Amino acid sequence: MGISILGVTLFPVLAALVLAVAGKLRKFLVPLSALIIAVSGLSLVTQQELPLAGTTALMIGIFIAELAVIIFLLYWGLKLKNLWIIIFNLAQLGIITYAKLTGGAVVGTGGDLLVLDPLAKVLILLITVIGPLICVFAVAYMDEYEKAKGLEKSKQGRFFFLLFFFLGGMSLLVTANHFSLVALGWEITTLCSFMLIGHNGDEQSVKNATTALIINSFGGLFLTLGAFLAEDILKVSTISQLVTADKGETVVMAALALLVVAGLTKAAQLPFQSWLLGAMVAPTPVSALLHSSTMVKAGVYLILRLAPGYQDTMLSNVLALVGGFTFLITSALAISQSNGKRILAYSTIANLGLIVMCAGVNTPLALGAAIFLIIFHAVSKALLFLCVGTIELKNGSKDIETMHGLVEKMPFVAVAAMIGMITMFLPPFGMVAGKLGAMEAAAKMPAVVVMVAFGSALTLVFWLRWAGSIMSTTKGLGEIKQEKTHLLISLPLVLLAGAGIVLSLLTDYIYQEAVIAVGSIASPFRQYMIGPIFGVLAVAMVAGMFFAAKAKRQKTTTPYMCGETYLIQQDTLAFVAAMDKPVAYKTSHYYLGHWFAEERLTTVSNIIAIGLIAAMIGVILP
Amino acid sequence: MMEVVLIILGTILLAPLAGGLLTGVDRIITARMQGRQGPPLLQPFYDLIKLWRKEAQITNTLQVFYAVIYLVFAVLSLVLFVLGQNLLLIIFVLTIGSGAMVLGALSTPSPYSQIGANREILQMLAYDPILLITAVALYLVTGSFKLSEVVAYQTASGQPLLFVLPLVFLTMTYVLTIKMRKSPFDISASHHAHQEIVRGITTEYSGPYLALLEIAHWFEVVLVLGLVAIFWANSWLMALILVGAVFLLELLLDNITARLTYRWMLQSTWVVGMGLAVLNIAYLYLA
Repeated sequence: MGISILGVTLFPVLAALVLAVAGKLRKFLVPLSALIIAVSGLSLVTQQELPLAGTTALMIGIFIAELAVIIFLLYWGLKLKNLWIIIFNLAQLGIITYAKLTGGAVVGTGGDLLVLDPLAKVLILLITVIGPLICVFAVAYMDEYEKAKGLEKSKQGRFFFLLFFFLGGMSLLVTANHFSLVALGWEITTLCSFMLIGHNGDEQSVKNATTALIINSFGGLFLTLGAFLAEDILKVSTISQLVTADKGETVVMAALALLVVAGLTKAAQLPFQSWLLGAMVAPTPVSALLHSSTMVKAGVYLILRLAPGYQDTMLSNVLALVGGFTFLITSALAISQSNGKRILAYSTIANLGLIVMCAGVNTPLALGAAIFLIIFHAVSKALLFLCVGTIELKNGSKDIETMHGLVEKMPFVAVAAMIGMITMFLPPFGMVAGKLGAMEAAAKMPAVVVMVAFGSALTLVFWLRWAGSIMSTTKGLGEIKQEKTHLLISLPLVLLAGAGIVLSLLTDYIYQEAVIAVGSIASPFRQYMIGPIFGVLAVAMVAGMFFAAKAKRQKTTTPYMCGETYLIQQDTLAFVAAMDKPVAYKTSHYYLGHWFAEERLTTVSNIIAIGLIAAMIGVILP
Repeated sequence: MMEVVLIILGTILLAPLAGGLLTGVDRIITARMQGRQGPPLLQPFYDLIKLWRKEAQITNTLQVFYAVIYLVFAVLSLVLFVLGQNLLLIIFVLTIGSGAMVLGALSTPSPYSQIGANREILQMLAYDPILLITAVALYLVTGSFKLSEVVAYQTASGQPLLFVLPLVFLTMTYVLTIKMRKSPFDISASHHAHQEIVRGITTEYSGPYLALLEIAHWFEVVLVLGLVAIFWANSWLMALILVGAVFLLELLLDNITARLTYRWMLQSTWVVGMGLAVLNIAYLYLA
C-alpha cells in the first residue's frame, strides 16, 4: 500500500504547495492533481492491509507536526483575541506534552499505525473521488465568483492550497489507527476548515470561522483527553486496541465516551450544529466539501470506528437517542428555512444524526445502513451544493422562493438538482435503502424509531416543495433553451448525478465489499427491491416522457385564474386585470414558523441535547 | 414465477374495478345519508369514460409526466402489498406516487393548484409518520416488517392483530381518512368536489389526465382498505367485515363532519395519534 497511501496523503499536500503559487496554470494543474489523487485512492482500496509499525523518528515527526498545528491554532486564538480558542488549545498542548514526557514508552510501540478496513476504504474512496471533483468544479466556479465579487487581487492561491491540504489531512485521518496520527489528521481538518470558512475575510466570515474554531477546538480537547486516557492510563496506543479492551472498565468507557463526544462536535450534532450552519458564508466548493465527503464525515467515521468498543452498553443506547433526536429536530428546523443552503445544511446534520443513531443501535444491519447513508449522502449532497452554488451565481439568490421556473432558465442545473433531491429521499435510491435499514434496525428501540418516523416525514416536506419549485414553468410550453455551462462545472455535476443513480443499482456489491467484506451473506437491503423498482421507474419515466411528448401537440392553455387572463412571461407571475393592467401575484410555501421557529426550537433542543450527552457520559460511571 | 405474474396482472386489472365499485357504493350511501337518491352504481366508470374522451388541455407537459408517474407508483405500491412485501418499503413507494402528484400540481403557476399541492404536502406530513409507526408496531408483535410474515404470524397464532394493537388500529384508521380524501381531512382536494373545476391539487388537470389521477386514487383506496384488512388477516370473512365496517365508518365521518384546518389536522394526528400508538406499544411491553 506504500505508494498509494502517499498518493492520497502526501501528494495532496505537495499539490497544495504547488497550486498556491501556480497562477494561471491552475486550470490544468488542478484537474491533473485531482486525477492523480483519484487514481491513488482507487488503487489504495484494492490493496490489502499492511502492518506498519512506527519508528521512533517517525513518531517524533508526527508529534512535532501535531504540536505545530496546535500552536498555529493557538496563534489564531491570540490573533482573534478569543479566550475559548486559547484555553482549549493550551489545554491540548499541555496534555500532549505531559503525555509525551511521562509516557514516553508508548511512543512507537504497540500496534499498527494505519488501518485499511472496509470502513476506511469507503471513506478513502469518497475523499479521493468526490473531493477532487469538487476541486475541479472550483476552478471554473472561483473565477466567476471572484468576478461577481469584484475582487481586485485573486485569493485563489490560498484557496486551492487549503482545499488540497484539507484532502490530505482527511485521508490521513481515516487511515490512521495510532492516536497520534488520528489527532494530527483531526487537527489538520480543523485548521483547514477554519481557514476556508474565513476565506472571504469579511466580518461575517471571520465571525463564523471563529465559531467553527471554538467548537472544533472543544472537540479536539475531548479527542486529546480520550487519547490521553487510552495511552497514558490504559497503555493502548491505537483505536483497534481500544475497541477490543474490556468494556467493564470505567476508564475504557470514559476514553470511548470522550472520543464519541469529539466525533459529535465534528459531525455538528446538536448542540454543536452552529459551526456547520455558519460555514456556508464561504464559497460553495467549501460547503460542498465540508458537507459531503470530508469534515462532518470525519466525525461520524470516528464514532463508527469506535462502535465495537461500546457495543451492548448503555452508552450505545443513549448515543442512539442523541442521533435520533438530532435527526428529528434538524429535519423540523429545515422546514422553517427558505434559504436553500441552510436547508441543505440542516438536512446534512439530520442525516449525520441518523448515522450516529445507527452507530448507537450498533447491530450489523444498523452499521451497514450507516455505511450506506455515508456513501449516498456524500454523493447527493455534493451534487446539491454544487447545483445551488451554480444557481446562486446566475440567479443572485439562494432563496428557494426565487427558484420558481428554474427549469426554464437553467434546465441542465435544474435537472441535476432534481436528481440530487430525488436520490436523497425516494426509493429506489441508496439513501432510502439506508434509511429503511436504519429504521428496521432501530425498531427494537421504540423511543428512537418514533423520532426517526417523524423526522423522516418532515424531510419529505422540504424536499418536495423545493423540487416542485425548480421543476415548474411560468411560460407554459415555450421552447426551452439549454443554458451555457463551463465544462469544468458541468462535468462534476454530470458525474455526481450519474454516480447517485448508478451506485444505487450496485447496493448488493457495496454491501459485500463495504459492509461485510468477508464471506457472502445475502444483503438484507435486498428486501427493498432496488432492482425491480428501478425497472418500474424506468418504464414509468419512458411512459411519462412519451405521453408528455404526445401532449405537446395537444391543446395548451393557461392556468386557471378565476376568469382573468394569465400573463405569459418569465420571472414574475401576473394576470391581466381591468384596463389591461397586469397585476402581479405571488405563491409561496408553508414554513410552519409557529411550530418550528428556529430560534426557540434551537434553544430548547440544545438544552435537551446537552442533557442527553451528559446522560451518555453519566451512564458509564460505575 | 408464473404465479407472481398472474398476481400482478390480476391486481392491475381487478383493483381499479374494485376501486370504482367502492366509489360507486360510496356515492350511493353518501347520497342516502343526505336524503338523495344518488347515481347508479356504475356512475364512477361512466364519469371516467367521459373524462377519457374529453379534449386534453394542459398548461405544461411536466403535468402529464407526473400524472403517469403517480399512476405507475400507486399501482406498484398495491402490487407490493399483494405480494406481501416489506411494509416500510410500501409506505415509501406510496410516497413516490403522492410526491409525483404534488410535483405535478406545483409545476404550474396556478395559485389554486399550488395551494392544493402545499396542503397535500401537509397531509403527507400528517399520515406518513403514523403509517411508519404502525409498521413498527406490527414488527414489535410479529417480528417482521414483511407483510407475508405478518399474515403468517396471525394464521399461526390464531389471534387477529386487532386485539393486540387496538389503539394502533384506531390511529391508523384515523389517518387513512386523509388518504381517502374524506372529511374532516379533505384539505388538499375533497372527494365531494369530484365534479368541480377548482378542486385544490387537481385544479390544473382535466380530461384524460384527470382520469389518470382518478384511476391512481382507486388503487390507493384499495391499498388503504388492504392495510385495514391486515389487522384481521387470519380469516377472510372477518377481514372483509372489518374492511366493510371501516369503510362505512369513514363515510359516516365524511358526512357528519366539516373540514378542519391543517393545524388541527397535524396536531390531532401527531399528538393524539402518536399518544395512542405509544400507549399501545407501552402496554405490549408491560404485558
